[in-house]
Amino acid sequence: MSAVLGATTRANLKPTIPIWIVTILAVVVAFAVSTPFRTGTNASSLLLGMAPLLLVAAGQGIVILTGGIDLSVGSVVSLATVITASSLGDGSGTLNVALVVVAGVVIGTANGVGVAAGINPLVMTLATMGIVKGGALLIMDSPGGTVPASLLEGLTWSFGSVPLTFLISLGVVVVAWLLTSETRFGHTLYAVGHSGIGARRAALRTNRTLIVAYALSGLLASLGGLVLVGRVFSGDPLIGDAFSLDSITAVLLGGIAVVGGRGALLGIIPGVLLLALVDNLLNLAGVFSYYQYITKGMILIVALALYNAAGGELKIGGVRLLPGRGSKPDAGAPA
Amino acid sequence: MTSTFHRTFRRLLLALTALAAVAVVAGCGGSSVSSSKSDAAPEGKSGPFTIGYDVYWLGNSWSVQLYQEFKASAERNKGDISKVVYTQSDNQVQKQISNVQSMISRKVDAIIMTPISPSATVPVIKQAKAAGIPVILLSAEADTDEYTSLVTVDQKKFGAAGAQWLADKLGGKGNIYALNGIAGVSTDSLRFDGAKEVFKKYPGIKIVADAHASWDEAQAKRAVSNMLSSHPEVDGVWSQGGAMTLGAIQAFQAARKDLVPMVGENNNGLMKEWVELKDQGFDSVGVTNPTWLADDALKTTIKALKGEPFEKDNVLTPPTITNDDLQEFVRTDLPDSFWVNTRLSDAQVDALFSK
Repeated sequence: MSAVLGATTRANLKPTIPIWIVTILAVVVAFAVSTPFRTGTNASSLLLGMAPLLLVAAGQGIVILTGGIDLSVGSVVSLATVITASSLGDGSGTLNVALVVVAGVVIGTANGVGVAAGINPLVMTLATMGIVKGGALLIMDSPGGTVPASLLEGLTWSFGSVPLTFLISLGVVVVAWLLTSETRFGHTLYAVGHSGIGARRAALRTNRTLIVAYALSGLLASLGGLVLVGRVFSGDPLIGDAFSLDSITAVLLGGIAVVGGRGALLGIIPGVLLLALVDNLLNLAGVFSYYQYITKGMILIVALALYNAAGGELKIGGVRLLPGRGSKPDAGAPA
Repeated sequence: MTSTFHRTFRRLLLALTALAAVAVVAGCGGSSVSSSKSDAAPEGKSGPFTIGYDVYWLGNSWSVQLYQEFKASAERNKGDISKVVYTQSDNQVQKQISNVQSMISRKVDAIIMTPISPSATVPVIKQAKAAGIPVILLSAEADTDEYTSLVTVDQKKFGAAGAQWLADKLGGKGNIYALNGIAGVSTDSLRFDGAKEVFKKYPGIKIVADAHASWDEAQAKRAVSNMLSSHPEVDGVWSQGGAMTLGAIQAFQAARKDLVPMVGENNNGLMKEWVELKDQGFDSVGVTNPTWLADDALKTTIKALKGEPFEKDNVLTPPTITNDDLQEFVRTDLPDSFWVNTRLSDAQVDALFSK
């Protein structure tokens, strides 16, 4: 491991190694064994499907690192698709993109302000989820709309079977990971997630950090919606609903602790890839989608059990059998 | 001591990881190899064919019966079909796109799908066409003409048929409630648009209250109960779903109000209730979105593959069931979840629905 990255960054990356291995192995074996998997259609389907979830999960991951949760991301995705497919301005799409960005930041900031003011994140983002969903339905009450041609061209640009939006989304996750692991903002983020009270006592700017975290989540969710339009070519006021829970699943699979303060955003990449692979492979094998839900649920349980084992926090009946690296005397949830 | 434990755990972790990877991949890869049949048959070839069928949803009795009608039809036409590849989209358009793309990757000979969103499925329909795979749209439209064939009823006419019946029944005058499905779903807005166009011609008819009750009996009952207390003067109910009509009847009965004419659908639950309440002056109409469209879709698909003539746009005016032919359709021996006017054989109906 290069010395460019800090020690904490490296320590946080370590638990994500197994999921990288599992995911890469899964890709390699699928590639070797399944003929339809190797087709260009399938590759671009898989990657284009991953792009929006990568972005949304990156935002969700930042929020979960603070010990919070953002349930509104699904509605924000829907709203973004609806805005993108509305006729606005000169028809070039510039105004659409600007509004998508503004909407995401505004909604996210509102969430952040609410949480910083002491409203429970679950309650706060549940409320904005409803408000944003209603707003999206008011703008467009059924799927449709037209996406500006020049914008659509950019969103569907592809190098062979690799969509541009996938590469950008991948880049965004890496940048978000560096932002959270190598900067002062990132350190405060982890501190808030580890112990909100502790961070406040240490005179860290916890409120500002929370607001920025939620604003980033809103922004990334709305960009996720923008990228999604490259797949569905239209707006849909309900299309994002599944993203709220899928993004949480991807973040947890990626090894970020649900109580906050632990994990690395880079783990989101194999997390999202593994989720997409499960769907893709079970589809190609002709397995009914009900089994896909069951499989994903089981993978999540197994993964979390393994992370716990790796962290050494093996407890039975409240008795800690192993002290472990990640354990701390009082691992209470942050404020 | 601790470190030994630690090491053991690490090893365990690695072993489990490897095991999981192998299991996942072996399970999926194995079966996909055996099923990948890739002698692509362009139009005009002889069968048997591999048909891809995307089940758009199994979340209500209608969608389940549509799927059953398809399976029954596939059984009847098994001479032309070597294999049916089924996927299930759970009413999520994103899933549907992936599912259809997986069928393209598997090089099926034709794809039958029910677009969950008319606009979002356009790219994938074009993609299938580019890959030389005919796409047959079943029971829902898409905003493109690059599909091979469309087999559906006109949802606007579905809404209009019930509205026209109600307007005639009320002599063009009266206060009515409107019960809609799910906001944001195209079937919902099309049916309501169709109804509103009819009502516009009758200035005497006023929609005094409306609600989205998700095509669901319990939600409709709750909504109509509220409407009855806020707008007690009511002469009729326009509903775009038979389960909601049932809910409306219950709400009227719970409030001890005389029943008014209500628009219904071809669901057996409503048919049974209708037969029972007929003597009390209740009247309804069973506007039908037939589940046997799935059978028509498969027949069209096979014709298209064999190069036989077929109609590209097969848009039916929804048939209706009225007081006069109610007795021919109602099946008092079957549960409420059955949809009358079916092409399922008696044996299949018994197997699926007998209690």
